[in-house]
Amino acid sequence: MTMRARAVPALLLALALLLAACGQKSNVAGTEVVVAGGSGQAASGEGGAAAPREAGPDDTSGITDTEIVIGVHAPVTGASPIPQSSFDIGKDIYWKFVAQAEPDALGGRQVRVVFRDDEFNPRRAVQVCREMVEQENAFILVGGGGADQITACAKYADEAGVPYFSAGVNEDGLEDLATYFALSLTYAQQAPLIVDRLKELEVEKVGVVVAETPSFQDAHDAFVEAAEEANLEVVTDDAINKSASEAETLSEVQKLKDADAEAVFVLTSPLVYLSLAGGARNQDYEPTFIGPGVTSGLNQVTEFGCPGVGTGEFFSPFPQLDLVPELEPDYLTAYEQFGQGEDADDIGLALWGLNKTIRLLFDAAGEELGRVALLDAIEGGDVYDTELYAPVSYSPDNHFGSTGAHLLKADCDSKTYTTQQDFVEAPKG
Amino acid sequence: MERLRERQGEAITAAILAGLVLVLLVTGEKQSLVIGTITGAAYGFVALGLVLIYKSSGVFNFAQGEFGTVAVYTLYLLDFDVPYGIALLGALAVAVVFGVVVERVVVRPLFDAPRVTLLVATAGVALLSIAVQVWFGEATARPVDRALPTLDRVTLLDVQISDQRILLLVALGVLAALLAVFFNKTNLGLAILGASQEPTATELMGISVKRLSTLTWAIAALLGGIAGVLAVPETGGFAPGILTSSFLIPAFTAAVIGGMTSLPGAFLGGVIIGVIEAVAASAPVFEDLPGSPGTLLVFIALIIVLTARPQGLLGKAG
Amino acid sequence: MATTVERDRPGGDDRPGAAAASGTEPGVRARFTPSPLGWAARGVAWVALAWLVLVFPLSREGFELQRFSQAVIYGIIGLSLNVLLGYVGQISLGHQAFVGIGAFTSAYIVTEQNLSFWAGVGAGVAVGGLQALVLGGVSLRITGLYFALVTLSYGLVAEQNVFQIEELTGGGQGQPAPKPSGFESDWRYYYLCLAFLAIVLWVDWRMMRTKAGRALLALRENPRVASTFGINVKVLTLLAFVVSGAFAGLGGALLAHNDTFVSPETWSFNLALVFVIMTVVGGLRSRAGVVIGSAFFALIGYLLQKFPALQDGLNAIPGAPDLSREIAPLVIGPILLLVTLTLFPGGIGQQIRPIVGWLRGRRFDLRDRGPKEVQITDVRA
Repeated sequence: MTMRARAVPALLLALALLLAACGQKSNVAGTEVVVAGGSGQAASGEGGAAAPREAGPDDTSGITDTEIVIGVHAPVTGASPIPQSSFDIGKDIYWKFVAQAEPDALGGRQVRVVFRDDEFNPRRAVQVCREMVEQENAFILVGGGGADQITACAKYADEAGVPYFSAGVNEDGLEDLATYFALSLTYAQQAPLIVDRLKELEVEKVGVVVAETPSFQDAHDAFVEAAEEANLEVVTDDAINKSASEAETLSEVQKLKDADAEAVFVLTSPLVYLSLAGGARNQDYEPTFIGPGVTSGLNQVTEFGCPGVGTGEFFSPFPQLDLVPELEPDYLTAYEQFGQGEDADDIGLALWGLNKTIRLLFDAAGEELGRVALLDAIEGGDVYDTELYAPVSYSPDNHFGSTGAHLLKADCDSKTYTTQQDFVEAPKG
Repeated sequence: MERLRERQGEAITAAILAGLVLVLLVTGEKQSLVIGTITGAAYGFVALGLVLIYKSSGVFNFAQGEFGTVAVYTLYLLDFDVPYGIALLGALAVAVVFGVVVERVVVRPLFDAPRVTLLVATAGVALLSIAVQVWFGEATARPVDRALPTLDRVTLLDVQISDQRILLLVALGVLAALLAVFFNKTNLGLAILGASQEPTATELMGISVKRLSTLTWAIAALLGGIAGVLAVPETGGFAPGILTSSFLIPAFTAAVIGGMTSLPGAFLGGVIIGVIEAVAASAPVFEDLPGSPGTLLVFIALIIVLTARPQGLLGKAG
Repeated sequence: MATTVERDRPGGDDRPGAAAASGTEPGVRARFTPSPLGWAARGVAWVALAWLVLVFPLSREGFELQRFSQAVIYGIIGLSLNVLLGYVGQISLGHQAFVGIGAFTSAYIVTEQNLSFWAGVGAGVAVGGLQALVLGGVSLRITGLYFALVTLSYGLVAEQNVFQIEELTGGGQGQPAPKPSGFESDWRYYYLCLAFLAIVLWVDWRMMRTKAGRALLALRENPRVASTFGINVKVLTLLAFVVSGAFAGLGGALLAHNDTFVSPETWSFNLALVFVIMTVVGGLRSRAGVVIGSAFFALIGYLLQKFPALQDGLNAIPGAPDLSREIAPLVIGPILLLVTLTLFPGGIGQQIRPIVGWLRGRRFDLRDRGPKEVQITDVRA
């Protein structure tokens, strides 16, 4: 390298350091993720901001006179994907319906849904959540599934002061966040319901299989505690790897079989559940698989897993399609119109329920819709009832405000889940 | 002296293996032996193709898993419209075509390149195959039909083994034996081996080295395809790249442990890996290891074999 | 020997009397110096380059800067893999473990131990170098294809065992890794990453200029000759591994704080292949090529987003469903790899040699393809 050429990297280095040390360009557009300030104070130790919120400059980001932008993330690739086509239709079918049936709703605005794949990877979830807020100006964020991803994005959303909603998953890591709300029962909250069901089925011995991640720890502990209080014998208690090999699932099945577990509490990704159930069936062992759920109660599980999953019962925020004509016929009408010729499925129903709840929350915030107004309204303690999901109600100390769930049971004749019990109420407190 | 050393080495290895099996039986892990054998058979099957390619051209074929995945995918697509038997033939045919295409487009131009270059190239092929599957299909898992419509089972040590798995084991054993005979006894087999060692001499004898290469890859692809259609239905469903993500790496380790130049070694290696994984999953002593104990144990086994007996259990030294 | 006179770019010096005028012997090729116009043209090119890298990003949004930072960091990672692949000639299919260890170390130091960012980066570099040293020791006994398998297995152990240790890494939930104080904004962090890249480039350049470095290169070409020069092969190899690991650890630490979050799923075998692809396509032993190749792979998704025309072009492939932004890199990467290996073994680096040469003040020579075709070699395989 010549003398001149050698000077270049040195010059580059010097320039870079110089520019880094200088102040940032404050006249360049674009938001910046800075902790504190704005409308989200990350209050620690309490479930919500103790001090009144102040509306920051981004309070109405994502809201114009004509539209509201919602950002949704979910895994459509990666270890536990949800079919993309179902998601593409289901993510905004509710809003399309509202735009047509109630054009004056939400102050005459239409809702635009932006969707990003989080690849079932928490780090990617943070990245796409950030993109949706900064690039697409999402007013709120919604997590479609995957506890670790939801936890990661919720933390980001809290720092950025963006309201974030998802179906209930874990509580650890989410309970102190000021802007996060679970729109259905968390896994831990479902534990007493599961135990009650096991009692109904006259089960005495139950095995526990939980995916190995700290996110599921509170769910695991809640169930084991509830089971022991109800005099159920927990015969095995294992954590299974998120990407378990066949030998691992078969060994687990063997263990459960040897311990005579009549039922198995399962909290894993659908793929691992399929592997366990299939392995059990091959071993002529058919315990009742039961668990809290969002994704395990989806029809794609029965479609692919029957007959192995035939004994599965899962709690779910939404009822299955068998009750829809009675409970929510609008969903079917909307799907006929906007479903691009596809059959209405349960993924769309789950999203419909989420969006419907959010709609009620938007309405509660009133005319001057902004992030702070929304958060304050939600915490106001009113009950919001979509008559599809169980009613929800929140307070500054409680962001896990759902009051019940539905029990779904697998039916391998139709290869779907059917609703065994609807609107099962969770115990108070 | 060499022979004696070799024999001693073999004896020690056999003794160690027997000792380990005894330990398993004594500590109550007998079921792991059964589980490990049936899951390991799938690894062994993929390893068979790996050894074949390595013996004939010295290449670590990273695309071997994808031969299987492509076959399974085709089976899935055809199975809707066409009886299973025909779908199966179609699937295997597609796998073979894929293998031949890979040989022509990727392996031929790199015939004289260092083997590591070919490793990377085959890895690229595998990645491309997976990407195309995600592109044209979706990333979700789908079920696939089993080869045998009945679900008969055999019970061994309280573990139930389905008939399909037995078919896989038997097919693996038969094919491994057949291939071993093929390479050692038939002219064509010897020619393939000879071509990899002495390509010029082979050409001089009027045998087309290029034709042999195509044939070898076609056979390897066929093996991979069979492995796929037999093994995957048992695991509950297939997702894009399933054979590469779930089977290829254990299969490689199995091939190395068994001996990259030994076809029966592939079988043995597969079973060993399967057993290691099963023991890792069930033995209480490994319960507190973070993550997947199987992965760690397989890694340790790999290191041990590569340092203590690099030619593998049944491979030839040097 | 006839001097070839080629039509050069404006400013090139091809007057017949040039050789004589510079006072050298007839028949000996004169050292080419560009004319003033040539210097001006080169100067403009350099400034344009500097503008692209240093000034243009200022006008972009914060999250775009995050992508650019990632591209720069990938450049660092590519350079680290280039040390192994290009200089030493050992293939590593577990490089994501080197990087991931740096990432988790830094996150742990900053979040759990409450030390500064610089301590985190330093720890990342140290841990990266250390574990590479161990692996290097292994490589001395187990070579070539088998070593590739060992690195692969090692990568898996890292992803599925080491990174799952909850106390250190937060397990499945992951670990936050906040940006350093003073560099919180995306712009400043970007320049910080650029500074690190410059440092890595410089260290790499200096390292290969030393006698040891030249010996390493010679080793690949001809190990027997190299050993007769009294080169301690083992020490050299280990040293190279340590450097590679240190660079990778640095890249990992920077990545962690760029994402402000680390989780185990990121460090999959897939990522190892991405790293190998970007280094090989970039061009082994070509620093510029590797940096460009790595940056390209980091930015594919971003480019498709920014230039919808590209996306439309990809979607226009007849008979195929839309190639979404997420899937496009998965398809483009392997295709580029196969094309590079079979048709253009020197990768991007080889293709841009004429340009790089021109920028450095040499004649623009389209036929300059480097001293030799560089392939992934392992002389010990």
